[in-house]
Amino acid sequence: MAESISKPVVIIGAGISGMRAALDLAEMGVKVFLVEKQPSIGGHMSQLDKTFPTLDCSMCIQGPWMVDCSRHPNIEILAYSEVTKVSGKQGDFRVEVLKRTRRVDADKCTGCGDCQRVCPIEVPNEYDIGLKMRKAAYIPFPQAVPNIATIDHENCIECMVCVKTCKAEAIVFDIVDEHVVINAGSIIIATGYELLDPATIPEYGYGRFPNVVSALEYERMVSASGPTGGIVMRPSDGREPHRIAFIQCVGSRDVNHCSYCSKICCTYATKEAIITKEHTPEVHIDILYNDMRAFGKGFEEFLVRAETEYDIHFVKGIPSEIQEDYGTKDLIVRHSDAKGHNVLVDKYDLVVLCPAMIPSLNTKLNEQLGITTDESGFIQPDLSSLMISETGVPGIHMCGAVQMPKDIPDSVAQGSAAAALAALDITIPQGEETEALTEEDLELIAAEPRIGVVICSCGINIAGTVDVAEVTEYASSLPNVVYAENLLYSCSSDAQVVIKEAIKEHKLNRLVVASCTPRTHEPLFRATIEEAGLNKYLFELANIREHCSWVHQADKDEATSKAMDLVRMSVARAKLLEAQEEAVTQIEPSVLIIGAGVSGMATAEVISQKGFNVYLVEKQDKVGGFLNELATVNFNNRPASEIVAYYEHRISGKENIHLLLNSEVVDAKGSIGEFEVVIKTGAKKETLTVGIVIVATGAVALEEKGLYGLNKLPEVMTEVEFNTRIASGEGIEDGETFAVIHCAGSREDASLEGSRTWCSGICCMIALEHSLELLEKYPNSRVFHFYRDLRVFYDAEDKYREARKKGVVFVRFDKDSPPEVKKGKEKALSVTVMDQVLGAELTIDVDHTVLATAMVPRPNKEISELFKVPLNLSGFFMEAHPKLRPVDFQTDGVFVAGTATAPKSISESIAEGQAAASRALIPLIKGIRKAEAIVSVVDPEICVGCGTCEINCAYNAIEVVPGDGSHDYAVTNPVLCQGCGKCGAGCPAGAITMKHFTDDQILTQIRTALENMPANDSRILTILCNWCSYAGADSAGVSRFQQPPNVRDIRVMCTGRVSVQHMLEAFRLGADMVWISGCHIGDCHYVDGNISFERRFVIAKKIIEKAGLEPDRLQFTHISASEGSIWAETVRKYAALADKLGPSPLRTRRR
Amino acid sequence: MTESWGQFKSFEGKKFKALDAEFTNKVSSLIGGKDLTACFQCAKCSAGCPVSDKVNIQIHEVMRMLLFGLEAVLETDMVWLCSTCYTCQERCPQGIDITDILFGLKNMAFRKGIRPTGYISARESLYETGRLYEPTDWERDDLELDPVPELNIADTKKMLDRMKLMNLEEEEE
Repeated sequence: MAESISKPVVIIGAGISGMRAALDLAEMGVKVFLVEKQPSIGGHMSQLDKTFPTLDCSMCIQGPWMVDCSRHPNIEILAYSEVTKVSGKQGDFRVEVLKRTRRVDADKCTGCGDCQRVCPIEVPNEYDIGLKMRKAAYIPFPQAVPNIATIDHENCIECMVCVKTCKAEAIVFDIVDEHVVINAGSIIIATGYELLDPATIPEYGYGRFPNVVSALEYERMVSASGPTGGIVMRPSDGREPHRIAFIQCVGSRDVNHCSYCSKICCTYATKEAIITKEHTPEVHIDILYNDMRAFGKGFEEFLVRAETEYDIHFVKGIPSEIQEDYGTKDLIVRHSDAKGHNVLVDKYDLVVLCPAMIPSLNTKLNEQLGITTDESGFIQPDLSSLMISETGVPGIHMCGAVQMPKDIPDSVAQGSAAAALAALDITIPQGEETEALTEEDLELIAAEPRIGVVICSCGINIAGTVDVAEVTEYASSLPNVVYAENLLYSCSSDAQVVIKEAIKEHKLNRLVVASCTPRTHEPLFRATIEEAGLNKYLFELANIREHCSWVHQADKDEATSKAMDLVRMSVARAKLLEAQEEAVTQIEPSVLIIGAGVSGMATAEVISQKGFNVYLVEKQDKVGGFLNELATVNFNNRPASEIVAYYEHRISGKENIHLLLNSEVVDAKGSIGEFEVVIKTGAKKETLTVGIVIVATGAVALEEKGLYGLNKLPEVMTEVEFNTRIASGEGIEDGETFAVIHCAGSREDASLEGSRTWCSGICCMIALEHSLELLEKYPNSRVFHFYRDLRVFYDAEDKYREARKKGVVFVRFDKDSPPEVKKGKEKALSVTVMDQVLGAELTIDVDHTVLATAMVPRPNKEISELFKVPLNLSGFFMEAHPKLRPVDFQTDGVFVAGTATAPKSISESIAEGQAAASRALIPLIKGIRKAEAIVSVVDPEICVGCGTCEINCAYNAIEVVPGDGSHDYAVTNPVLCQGCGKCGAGCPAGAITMKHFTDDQILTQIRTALENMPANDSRILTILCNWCSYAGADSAGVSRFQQPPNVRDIRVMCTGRVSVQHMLEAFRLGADMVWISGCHIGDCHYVDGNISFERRFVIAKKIIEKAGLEPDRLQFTHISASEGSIWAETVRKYAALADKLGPSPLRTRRR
Repeated sequence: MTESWGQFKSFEGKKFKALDAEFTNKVSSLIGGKDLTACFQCAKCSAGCPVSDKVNIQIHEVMRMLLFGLEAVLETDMVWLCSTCYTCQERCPQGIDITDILFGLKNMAFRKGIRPTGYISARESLYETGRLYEPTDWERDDLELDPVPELNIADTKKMLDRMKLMNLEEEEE
């Protein structure tokens, strides 16, 4: 497949999917042309306020990707452009692109917006779906990439005022359209979706009634950057609505419009409802639906939360039409309610319609490319391989919603999958990169610190609660600060320019940004200052958003003074920051894949084709994983063994794929680039060195004895068993009666112990597949399905219809009254259930009962511990970020794919396998990886060679060596050192310095945190570990769990870094409470840093008790990254405790 | 809610057993009943029904009863109170010919002797005189109106014969 010359890849469409594909390929060293027809990249995700289920600010998580695309040397963005013609074949395409002229010189335009201000013509802004106006000379939104103006031909009247106003002389009306021809090796289509125009469903009044809006319009209305600044106002009179209705399935699941299900609307409507409730808790919100569908990871829990925590009403009953009240322009909606027998008439101030998703396609282009679309216009994927990123035309791949309606995590995974497939079409040269401290860096170390401070408004996310002007002024008064500025969005690409210029102009040698969390944005700003010539370790980020503005929304004054404290602490630390050099790790060019199901095999194939060694380890005696337990899959009843054989064939006969069956990983050491793993096969053990590890351990179907009588009553079976029996015909005759019970073991109540709260995503679909298969073989069967919500997506909806037309009866039951299965009299079993629609009890005698049981994770604890990768509360692996990093782990060099993270379909698992391959190829092709410079350094003069550090290091990264002529001393291996800081905190001689987290830096933060304490407010000095508790506090911030503002937090990599001196110093300076929080025992990112700290904690407690302080003033908790609510609860608890204990007796010592 | 129409008024406390597929199939073979079982209970039909506040059992519940094969559906008031506005049929996302099915149910109900009082005499009047009631002569004289013109009963009878209106008979039990 690969050609001999390295050719670029053309990606058509720069939404979240296209950007992911572009970034993966660019990181592999491939040149990418990212073609986008809008003036800015970003797609629809840039229009969203927040994303479900994490409620992350959409632009905040997408923004860094947009900036990365604009800065990456391998990515060339062709925005405001369209692909007009394609010819050629895989490996050698000729792509013609029309670069429409903006009439602006991209090299000269600074994105200042002056032309926008003076342009006299106003037209509706497409970005705000016409709810706000833009000028004919415009930048579509503040974070637009490229951040340059466009003069809109159609509406420009050529008055030339913009030309005269532009100081950079960038507006040139003579610039013509450009035609670019690219010789590409591969093409990826990522053109995404549009929403069906709701006016095509005239009975809902869209377009006639001003207060009926579409979901995307509502998204803009709740966005801080939207037409009403995030305050929801009715279009007719600007009043804030008190009663809002969301109407689902507008145009979807409707044979008169789009017969398919658009998959994401139930979940995004819930999200929009929750966002609204956060703004105004008193709003009454009804979501009118037919089935509530939630497919992805965490979505079911999200829906439950909406109902229980936010009091959002889910009402089953689609309205027939909407009428308008003439005077008030309120909307009158008649709808049924499954719980009652009346038709209700409700009045709403505002109605939001959730329209069907339709493809955004260039049909001419598809014809040229020879791509087949299905009858709804989405691109038909290659059905034989089940690879949904393949269009069937060699060399042309796809990702995102162009294939079918889908959400962001799936679009991102498929973006990576498409990148992997594109990488196979071209050759990629091996990368080479090195870096060392420059002369300039060394000079800087000696120079007097000149600190620049940027206070970010983050739109209104920070500025809405914190007085950013006051904080900026305060910052400028701090010692060594020579520059302080307030920026609207510090992470936007134009802000990076402002920052770089400020560094040059003011000769800054340290930068502090007070904005969001370093966990997402530290790399961005580090890269910016590097470009300005500074070493990247001279940057510090103060978290005044997740840890401040978002969680103290009702205490604006206190939030502002807390922000000032946090800035003061960061400035003090910045003063002591030093330039650092990064250790370079060679990446061993081989990969370990744990699990040879379809996911693992898909990964293996891609990686091996790029020339790297693959060790595919499988516990069972054959490949195929869970598919081996199924007879047929999918609606075409394809034999599961066929799919397994297909993928087995693709990995066999390959020299560089080593398949190890009957094998397990029993030990693992090391880190990215050099993992040392021990594989046990029978009695034999083999040690391998690999550069990357991919976890693809899969999942299984639940088999719980007693569940609806399973394994107790005769003829109760799981869908898996049913599938086998249909194939073999064992024990089934024509004319029998079947009961199928959905949600068996899924969607359980969170209050129950060990409950499986998730939706297993695919079981409804599988239940339908099997029923249809049954009816084909035994057409006189009578089948009853008992369900809570029928969850199928896209064209599986047609199969649901087919089943109903074939006489399958679907009975809906309430969560609180599930069916009862008992031994029957006339037939084997008797099933009794309360039909939700009629409110009457139904009893049917059945010959067989089939349970659509939950998908549950395999026992993953061992792998989790071996590779230090976390599991979440349900036992599935926890990926780095549920929205934007679905196949990554937080730990570098370890990736995950398939059902190991959450239930999903076969084709989705294969796509994730390919996505993980793409992620793995990045370091493999680069060949090296630069480590964080956070390592320990021993001063041999002070060290006494006691060996305490060596005994305690979990990585064997520090050892005592014999001194030549003098005493023995310890030496660190910077490649193995992970930077936990345990050794530094425990060294009795104080000989160890932890780079970038020195004692001085921590102590100065403690000291500045405890300055200027108000007399009547308690102050809690908190030290958090980066991986768990800091992330948990971030999570609490993202979820807006409100907290009292008494906490001042300091970030360290691990609680192991915290020494007794740190805690005592905090008390000495008057802290009312000192609270250290880290990972749960067993989950420490550095194995046992928190256990080391625990020993020190006990010592410190004894000391403060002797000193006369209440021991309760010192606390140690374990809070993980997913426990945002527990973080918030703990803050409240300790604030109350600190009040109860009263001010520390040491307070009066500070003058 | 009306009292004088349907005998089947609510599902309160009702229990059903082993649903009768035969009845469902019978209704499915009527005009419009082809896609009857495609109903997925969105209740959009009831939401648009102009008589929804006058019936005990909503139209979507009637459809449900058909799906369950419950013959008691013939005793609901919707069978006779449906105004045949066709809103439900127009808007049904599954394209089910709800109103047409209801027409079929009217015929089925009639055969079982379930019909509104006065229906038989009204039918006979329509057939024999072409009118559902007799206009009051003296009132018309008082108002100085012309007499009601004669109707060509033969033509209307031919039409009603084609429709087999008078053939619809109660079945022997």
